[in-house]
Amino acid sequence: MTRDSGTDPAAEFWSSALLTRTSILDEDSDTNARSNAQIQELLFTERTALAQTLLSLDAQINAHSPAARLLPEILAHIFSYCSENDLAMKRNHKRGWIGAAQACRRWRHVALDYSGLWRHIILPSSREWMEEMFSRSKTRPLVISWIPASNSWQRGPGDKDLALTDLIRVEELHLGHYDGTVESLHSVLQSPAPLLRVAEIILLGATCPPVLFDGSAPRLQRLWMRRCSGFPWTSPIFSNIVFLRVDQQGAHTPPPSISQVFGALSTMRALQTLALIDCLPQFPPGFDITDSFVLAYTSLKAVALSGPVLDCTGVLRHIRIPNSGIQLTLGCTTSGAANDFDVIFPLLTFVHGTSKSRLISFEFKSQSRSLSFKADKSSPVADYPRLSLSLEWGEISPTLWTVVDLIRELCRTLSVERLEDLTMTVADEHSRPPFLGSTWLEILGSAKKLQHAKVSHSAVPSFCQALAHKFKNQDGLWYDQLNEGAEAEADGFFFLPHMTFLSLYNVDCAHFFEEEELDLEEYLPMVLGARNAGGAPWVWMDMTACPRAMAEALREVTTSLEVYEESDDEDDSEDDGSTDMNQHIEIDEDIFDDDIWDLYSMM
Amino acid sequence: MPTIVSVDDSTVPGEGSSRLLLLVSSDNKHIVVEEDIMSRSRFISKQVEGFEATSQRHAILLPFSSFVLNKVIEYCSHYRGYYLLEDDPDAAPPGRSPVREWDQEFLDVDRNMLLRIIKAAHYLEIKSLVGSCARAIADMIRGKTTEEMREILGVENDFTPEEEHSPSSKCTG
Repeated sequence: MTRDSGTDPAAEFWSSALLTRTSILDEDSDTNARSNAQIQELLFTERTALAQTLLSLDAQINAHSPAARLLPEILAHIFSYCSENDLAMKRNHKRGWIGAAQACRRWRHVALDYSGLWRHIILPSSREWMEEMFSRSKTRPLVISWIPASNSWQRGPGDKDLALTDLIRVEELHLGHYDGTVESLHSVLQSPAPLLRVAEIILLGATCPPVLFDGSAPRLQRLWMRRCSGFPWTSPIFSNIVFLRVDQQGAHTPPPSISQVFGALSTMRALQTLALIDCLPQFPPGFDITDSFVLAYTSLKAVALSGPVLDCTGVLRHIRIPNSGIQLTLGCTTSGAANDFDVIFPLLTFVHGTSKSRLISFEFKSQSRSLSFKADKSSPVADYPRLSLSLEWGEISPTLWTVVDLIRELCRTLSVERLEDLTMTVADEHSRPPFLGSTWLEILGSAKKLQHAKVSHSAVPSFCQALAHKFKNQDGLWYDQLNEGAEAEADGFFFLPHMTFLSLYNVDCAHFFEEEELDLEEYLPMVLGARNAGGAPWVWMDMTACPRAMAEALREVTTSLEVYEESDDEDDSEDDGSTDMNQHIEIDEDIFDDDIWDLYSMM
Repeated sequence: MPTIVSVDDSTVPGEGSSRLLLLVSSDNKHIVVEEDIMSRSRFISKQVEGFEATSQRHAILLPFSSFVLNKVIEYCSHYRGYYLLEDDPDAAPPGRSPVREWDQEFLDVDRNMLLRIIKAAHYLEIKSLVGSCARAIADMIRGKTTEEMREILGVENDFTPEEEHSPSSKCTG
């Protein structure tokens, strides 16, 4: 609050005191005839003294400030939260706790004295800064993040020497690699690391040294080697490992031998997470499994494997899954042989038969085909209430039926009973749908809890067919009701009864109507879904590729349909004047009357 | 004569409830609270253990106001029966408390109140609350200039010109 200086006793006092003080100078100047410069200098001296007095006053104010009086332990907590984002983003601390330490003398004093703040060293940095960090971290174990950018690395080759001479104190090591640093990196990776608990190394295709950390890293628990070329499986450092991720993506190195990999894995009794990306040992066809080769991990929680299908299968069959179950991520490749899909079936059958493993991600790639799905990672392991299933495939080969079979097998493996969210994507929008409506019913027939579905491209018609359970069987005969599968009830049955939202996008309606000879009278009920259901789902449809007249027709007849149209074509926008992107339009009960068919026929 | 303060609904003991504790705030208010609720506080737990050793019941005197104490009790009541890793004396202490939505709303108070709560939580050894308060204070000052930060915290610049340009200042700014 600002006070009127005329009535403020403090202001009056200090104003008067200043006048008294400066008048002495004036008096002196009369007798000694001081020059103006001398007087000015004396006034500067007075001002400096006054500033110091003011500082003393500020210190007294802070002595009564709750924030400035916080205990050092509490301040250290606050500083550590200030640096939270810095550490996550691996950037320097200038914006975090160091900024906070400028608040007042006491905050700075605590920051300088609290060694825990100084142990997180992010490189590259200036030598002066590095020395300060090392000194102030005292004897605390260090966390070093060395993520060289292209230019900054070139500027500070000395920094890493300074930092890494203290590797013996390092508890966590996050090292990046850049061209020209292989030798330095090797010297680091071959140094003993008695306190090292976490190591994350990015090698960008560079080779690993033959033995990591000179074989001495007795506390190492988490090791993540990213994009390395080769991996020293024989290093004697794995006895306390709980997390191992070796990623040789794109390294094109010869696969390790079975004995090398399993020799190392057999020492990791506490393993919780195992991820082997493109570094699986090569299992020859018909490799004989012996019990002595099967590894039992009691704490294992997650396994991720990526590589040839046979090798993924080989590794999995040699790991005894604990009763607590695991999360499984598989990325399988093949050489593109004709029997690509055939080799996956044993793998999926194995996974399906092992009820203790929960497949959360699966990806299959060959030269001509790809298929993948991912579970929502936030889903609890034990259940799939929020599972999001995504299926994709590219070029469709003559062996289409195997794709459908594979998806069917995947859905069996996933146990889709609790599936709530489905995404279906087809890469090639003009490919003939591999699904029939009956196929959807077969593979999703048990997904009674499905609420949301996003379906695209050529999968739309068959999905809509299934929703309306209006589809043809193999003989071309129409089924208006599900008459097989036993679970259907004659009256009121609705496939996916909990469906509340259906999103259809990238639908080339014209293509389907013209090329696939689907007539509108048949198609509309498919799009609008369960016309007989107690509560019809909301349908959101991307009509970008839909003939305008048909879009208009749909608008006139739907209540539960929201139509999305891109209006990037200015002429079109002017023509119909519609700029609303998401329209909710009232429906006429009799939505399939002949007028609409006439409209479509005229297009 | 101490004032007897009625406890709010969340602290009224029900059937099968735990023993009652008498907490006395610095403004001499007496607050009755179930032992279970305050078991998150290591300080209170240690005090209660001391009572059991002497088989006597005592009031626990606390150096902060009833207003602050009631806030702490509200926090402890909310998490009654919840396991929070930070408050587990047998667990390895986590580096930081996770973000808890309820805590963020609970700590949406003015600066001085927040500072009082963190001091009380530290005194009572409720690590989860200390962590949440520290996060809230850090959020208040994150991304601010030094002057803005001082204004938020209510502190003055008491650095001498020499200190502002000292080597340690170079390191810390």
